[in-house]
Amino acid sequence: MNRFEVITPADLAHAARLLSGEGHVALAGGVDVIDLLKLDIIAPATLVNLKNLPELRGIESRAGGLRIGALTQLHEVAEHPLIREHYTAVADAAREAATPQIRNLATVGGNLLQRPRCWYFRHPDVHCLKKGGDRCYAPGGLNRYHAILGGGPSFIVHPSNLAPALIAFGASAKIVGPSGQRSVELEKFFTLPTVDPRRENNLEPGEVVVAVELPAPPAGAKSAYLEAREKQSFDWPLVAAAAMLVGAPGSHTVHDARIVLGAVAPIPWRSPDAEKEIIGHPLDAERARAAGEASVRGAHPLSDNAYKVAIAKVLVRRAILKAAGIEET
Amino acid sequence: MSRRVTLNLGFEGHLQPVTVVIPDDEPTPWQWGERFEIVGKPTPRVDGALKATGAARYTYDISLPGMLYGAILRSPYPHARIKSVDLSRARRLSGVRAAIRMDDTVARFAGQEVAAVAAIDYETALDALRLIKVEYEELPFVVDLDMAMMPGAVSVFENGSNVQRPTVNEHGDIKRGLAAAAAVHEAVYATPVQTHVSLEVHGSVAEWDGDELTVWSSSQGIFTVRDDLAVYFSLPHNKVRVITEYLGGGFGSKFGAKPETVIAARLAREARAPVKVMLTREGEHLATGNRPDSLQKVRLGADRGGKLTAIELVQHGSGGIGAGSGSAGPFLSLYHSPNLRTEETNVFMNTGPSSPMRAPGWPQGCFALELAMDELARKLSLDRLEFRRLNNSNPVRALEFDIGAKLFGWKEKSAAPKSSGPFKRGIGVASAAWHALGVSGPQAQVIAYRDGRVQVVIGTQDIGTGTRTILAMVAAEELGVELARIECQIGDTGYPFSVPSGGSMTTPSTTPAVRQACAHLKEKLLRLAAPVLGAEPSDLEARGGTIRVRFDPSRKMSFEDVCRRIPGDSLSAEGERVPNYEGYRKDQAGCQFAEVEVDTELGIVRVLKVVAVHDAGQIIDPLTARSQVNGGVLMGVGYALFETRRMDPQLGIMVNPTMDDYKLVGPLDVPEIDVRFVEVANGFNNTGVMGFGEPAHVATAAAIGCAVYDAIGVPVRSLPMTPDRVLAAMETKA
Amino acid sequence: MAQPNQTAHCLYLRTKSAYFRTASGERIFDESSTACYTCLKTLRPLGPDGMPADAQACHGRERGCFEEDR
Ligand SMILES: Cc1cc2nc3c(=O)[nH]c(=O)nc-3n(C[C@H](O)[C@H](O)[C@H](O)COP(=O)(O)OP(=O)(O)OC[C@H]3O[C@@H](n4cnc5c(N)ncnc54)[C@H](O)[C@@H]3O)c2cc1C
Repeated sequence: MNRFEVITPADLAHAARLLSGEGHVALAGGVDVIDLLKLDIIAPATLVNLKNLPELRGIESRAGGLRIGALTQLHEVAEHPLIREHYTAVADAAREAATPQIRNLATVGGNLLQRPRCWYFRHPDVHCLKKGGDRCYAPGGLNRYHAILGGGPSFIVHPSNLAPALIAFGASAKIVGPSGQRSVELEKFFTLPTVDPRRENNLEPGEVVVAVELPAPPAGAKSAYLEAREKQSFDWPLVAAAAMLVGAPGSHTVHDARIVLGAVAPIPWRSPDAEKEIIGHPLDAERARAAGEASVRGAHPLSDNAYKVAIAKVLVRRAILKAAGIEET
Repeated sequence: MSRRVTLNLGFEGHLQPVTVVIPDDEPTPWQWGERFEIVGKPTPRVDGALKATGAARYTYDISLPGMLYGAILRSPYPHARIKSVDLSRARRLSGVRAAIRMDDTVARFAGQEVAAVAAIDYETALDALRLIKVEYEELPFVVDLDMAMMPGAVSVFENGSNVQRPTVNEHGDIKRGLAAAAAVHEAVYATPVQTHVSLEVHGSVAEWDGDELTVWSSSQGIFTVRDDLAVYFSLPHNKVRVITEYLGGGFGSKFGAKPETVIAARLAREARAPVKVMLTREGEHLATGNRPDSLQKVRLGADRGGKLTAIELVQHGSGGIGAGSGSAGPFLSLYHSPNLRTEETNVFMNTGPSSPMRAPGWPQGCFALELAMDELARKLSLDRLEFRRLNNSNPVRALEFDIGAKLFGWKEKSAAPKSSGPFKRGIGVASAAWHALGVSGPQAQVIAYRDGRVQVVIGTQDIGTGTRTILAMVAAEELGVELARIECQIGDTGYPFSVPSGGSMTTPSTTPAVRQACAHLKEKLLRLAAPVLGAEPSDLEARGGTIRVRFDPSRKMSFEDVCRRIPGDSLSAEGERVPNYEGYRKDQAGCQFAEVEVDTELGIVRVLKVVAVHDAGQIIDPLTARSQVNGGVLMGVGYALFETRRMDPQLGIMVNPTMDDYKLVGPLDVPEIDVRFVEVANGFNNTGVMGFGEPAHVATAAAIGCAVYDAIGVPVRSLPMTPDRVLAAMETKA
Repeated sequence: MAQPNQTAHCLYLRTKSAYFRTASGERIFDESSTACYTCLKTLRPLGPDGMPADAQACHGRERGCFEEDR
């Protein structure tokens, strides 16, 4: 860890100005920032503490939807009655993440912007592609937790639990930067390594994520989030699946759907193929199974992670059925 | 100077009078069925509150005036010639007080200590590490057991083969045994490298005063650290003092003076100030030792009736750049076979050296043998428990099988139909064994003060098993006083000698010394009380906080009143742990039952329940005893399902040296654990105690492996049983 | 005058069992297959000559780095 100073900006504009400068890194809950410092992955001269910015706080209803301030902690998301009722997958994704202590500290903004867990990336002695080196060590090395979809030239998986669930509801990030504010759909916020292997999203220097905005859930929307982990406590998902289904009124037919996987690709992985399998059809176990199969179409597993393909299929099927309230026999 | 006593030895229903010879000043050993006032009663740890509140001082907590902080630079390469180490820039950094390099000219594993610095704070020490210039010449390396064994593999030691000479044990004729078998099973089993992951990392604080060295060390052997330091620095033993007040776990990796302790002392000498060196978690994983991995080719044969005719093991394992990877223990002792052969071969590779870890070799061997037993039982259509009973080597274990099976519901669970859904349950059973009689050597001093306090002083250390509590209970029992009166002083080589806490030997080695010392002190106290009570000392006893006449308990004095008659300020007595006398059995049995549920679509295993039945000698504190077994089981769950050191083949480094990626059991992974003890009147020493820190860990992963096999119908022959392996096994079935 | 012990283990050799002593005071060097050896001189499982340390190799005077344990 290098030596650094911490500045608490007076307001959002001040924060944006500071963060435009070289060597400035935003600090929210610090769960990931502190780790990155300790591993010498970042060596900022200044940490810009966002915790005093009121715009980043609170969960509010807005135009039928919800605005979740970027500093909202994961435990608040997991417990919030409106999120639990109308955006069940989002609440479950937050609840399944990490441990109670971490959920009490980790923020929504930080969760979306946390860096990948790849053990090469996080190893202080490995200068990999993500750190400006010339290669990704995963394909020729130990890759049991790496990408099965969308990989190359880097094969990290995106670590956020919240992102797939939020994307399933069409959420956007509200961003303020030195030149004003913008709103970007989360689905378009995350970027593949082909764009730039050193980053996972298109947040520009100086930009602060102020909030996540969830549109009003479609009438009749139901959702579920499931993840498969090796350990039941204190572990990261091998695969996560968020399913959001909109039923046609008065029938079993699925009117609209969004299926988004986590931990399978360098970005939260929306699967239009899986969605197509169920949209316009009455839902049953067979349909859900077909969606599971479709969700990993085109997967390119590495040497050690083909099992994640099998897990993804099952998890997508189970998430769809759970969202629909169908018990498997 | 010895006398004969007759002891009832054995266990419930199998007791035999045995006459043993014991030294004259040895108290009569506690007997089977002895009625105790304190021993055997569930007793919370005397230092529990201190630990829970943070008041207990661990090495990590030591802070001395003027103390410097040390940090260690490690080789990033698995194999490299160290051509030069330039410390000059580090030395010049403001705040740096000492910088040293290690003597090695070759780094043989990534993580090997290369240099170290001491500075006014840890951050400055880290800054200084960055300024050290090391010139390495990278060499080819090998970090995989299979590859290290191949002809033409890179040599870890110059010109030497990586494959060491095998250790062979055999009796009978294995070929004949296999030929005589009605069924033979053969397969290869693999176990991973497991690291100790003590919560308190390794490390020491060292302080010199002239040529006298004092070291606070996170150690499981204060006297062994003292001896090692004395030899290393060519000092007389009395010039070195080692202190371990509290220890956050050891598990076998903290016996002697390891590099970090020597580094602390070297830095302190150069800086002329105390230096603290505590490892990082990464350093822990890389360089402090581990349980070696194994590849075990097992062949078992049995006749139609289920009697084993042959047991064969051909094993390879790697202790990294060290030895010690054998796993034959269980093969040699759990089950009878007229024909048996084991061959164990250690293989070197460029990874950190192994060190003893909770029952060295046994969890590895037990997993391979027990899963193989189940596979053979299936071929013979035998009930797996019955098959084990038929070949069981230990009469106590026979009883333990019965107790465990009943408690676990083996019959009912075996008969339960398998679910047709994706969640399948399964059960398994595995045997454990150990040998923890304790050794002679420990000395204890017990002091009664005029105010009625009693101090037990012994240079042992508490590896976490509750040593202070156990010793205080034994002392209180012998002196007939309440527990609160006893204060234990341990963890300092200034105290009378004791042995390291390893091999499950602490309680059986220390309690007899303390008891003897208390018996001697009691004699003195009885002599003080005798004239007052108008009785002979031999007619008195110490009980219920009093000294009283045995045949007329109404004639008594309180313990405090007796102490008030101590002529000076205190009265003290010594005791020693005498060599083991005759006893019942030198081995210990045990068995564990496990129930799992497997999500067969995701390959995820959850352990639902473990029933652990172990024999013990005299149980001193049932609470700490149970904690021992709980800990062994939890470590076994981790070994079965999660833990493994992962070495990258391209870089030769461990990719998961963190608490995040090196996966330990978490709260939700903990099964229901039911612990039962079979008390064995074992003899050998005056408290009848046997240790069982290690046996508790031997059978867990094996029982879980067997349960997974039962659940999914195919064996998963490699640990840890991660989802990829479970799914791959399921695929072989389909 | 006491004869130097030709068959003793090196002063610097350590292993778990050698941290215990017999009733007559000798270090115990059981040559078990699970014994992990350390040379106290190098603090590693190899001697100052760069070759593996163990109960067989560090026994007697053949090895150049051997030092008698008195
Ligand atoms: C043991 C463990 C287990 C975990 N398990 C899971 C899990 O299962 N699933 C999961 O999703 N996560 C998991 N996490 C990760 C955890 O959820 C994230 O580290 C946490 O959410 C980060 O939030 P934070 O507020 O602490 O962010 P910080 O660490 O403060 O910041 C993270 C990053 O985001 C940037 N940043 C933060 N807020 C803003 C903002 N408003 N605008 C611009 N930039 C910002 C920071 O500069 C930094 O780069 C786990 C973490 C640990 C330690």
